[in-house]
Amino acid sequence: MLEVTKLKKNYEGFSLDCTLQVESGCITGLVGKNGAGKSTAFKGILGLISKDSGEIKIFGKDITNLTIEDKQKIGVVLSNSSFSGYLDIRAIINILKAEYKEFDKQEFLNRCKHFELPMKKQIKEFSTGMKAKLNVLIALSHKAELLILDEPTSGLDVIAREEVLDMLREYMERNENCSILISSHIASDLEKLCDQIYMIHNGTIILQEDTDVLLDSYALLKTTKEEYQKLDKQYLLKVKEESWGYSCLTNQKQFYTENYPNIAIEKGNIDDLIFMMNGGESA
Amino acid sequence: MKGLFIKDLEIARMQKKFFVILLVMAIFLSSISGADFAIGYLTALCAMFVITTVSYDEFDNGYGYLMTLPIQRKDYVKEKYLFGLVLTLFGWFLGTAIEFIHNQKQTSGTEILCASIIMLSVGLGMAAVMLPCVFKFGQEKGRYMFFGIGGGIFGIAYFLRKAVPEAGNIFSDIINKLSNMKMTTISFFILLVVLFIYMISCRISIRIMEKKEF
Repeated sequence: MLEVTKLKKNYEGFSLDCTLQVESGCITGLVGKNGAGKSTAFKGILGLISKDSGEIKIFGKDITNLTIEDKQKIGVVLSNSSFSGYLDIRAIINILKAEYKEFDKQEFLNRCKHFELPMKKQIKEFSTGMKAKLNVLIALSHKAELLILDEPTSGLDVIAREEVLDMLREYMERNENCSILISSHIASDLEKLCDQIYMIHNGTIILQEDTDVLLDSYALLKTTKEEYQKLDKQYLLKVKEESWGYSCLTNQKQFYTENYPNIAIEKGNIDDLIFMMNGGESA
Repeated sequence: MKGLFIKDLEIARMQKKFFVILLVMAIFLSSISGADFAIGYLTALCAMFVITTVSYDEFDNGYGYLMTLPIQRKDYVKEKYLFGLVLTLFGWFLGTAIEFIHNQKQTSGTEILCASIIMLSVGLGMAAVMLPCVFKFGQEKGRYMFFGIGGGIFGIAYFLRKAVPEAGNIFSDIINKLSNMKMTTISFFILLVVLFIYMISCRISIRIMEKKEF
């Protein structure tokens, strides 16, 4: 569905080097701290910035060869950009109706009503949550086969985030062959949603893993200094010195659970992973 | 592209108070200031409104989002030029109608028509210069560039007149030849030249937009 191969873009003080794949029917998450390069990667994928090298294919075609019909099948949310805030939903409906053949006006109206989005109020007057919900509703309004969603839950409280994620889950249930590439710096959002996760750090993909594997096999070992000295370190990915000893990230939880029953082992989560991959030292 | 046109119409609709005030001012001022005022006033301000729609698109980085819609970048530019043309014609038509109603007894129909065509050319010429500037440099810097280019053209003309007296003679010859022609012919000739410049400007803007990073 989407294939990015060695996408490179150099800025002063920052370089992007990104390779990732989004399979049909899958939700793929891109995680990383603020400034890691998520939005730059998204802009590259959408052709909003020129690339220095590399290849980006959507629906098997290089993005420079995408037709209007191909673009009709892509739904987009950008982290800091949408329709002009001076427009209202009524105006946006007219625009979407004219641009997308598959735009379902009634469904869109129903969903706007469900989320209590005002029809005649300028978008700039909306709350952050309302804007985010509207942006996702727009992306889902025209039966897109590929959704490219950059930080769709940014700035939302827990309830609003869950509502947005529910919308995406429901969309995937109704459109089984649809694919989603979604980014967030709130990793717990993606844990519950994604089939696979890519982690980006300083513009480079440093980890790619199925979410199930990540949650089942990755773990955080918390050891004292003495325990750490005796530890078999061959399966440690990152180590961070703490005041009480060491935090160690492993992708072989089973091995340490069986061989070191006295060590505190915490089930892995993506937040820990980001923290350790960004802050830890190699073992 | 149809969606983009609708978007700009929606932006214009949201500014309906501006257009009503514009119309009232045009009617009022043309009744006290005399010939040609309404045409120039309405045509120029409607032509400049297309620049306003660009600034609405720029609001909250909206440019990038628009480029993810099922359009090509050149479609965005073409739509702006089409919208500019339609809106300028709308202002010009209203202005001309007001002039005909107000001044038909004092000024001949042909004179009003010629003056209105020249005003239309001026409006479209302004849009043709401003649009590439705004696409290249953004709303704020684009406006400065517009005035810079305007000043530059006058500066070069002044320099040529001083430095190369023959250039002044050539210009006088052209004026003399033109004055032998009918006023209507000259007006239409100027309009054709401006329309040609408008198309060239559109091509330049497409090139600018295709290289732009969002």
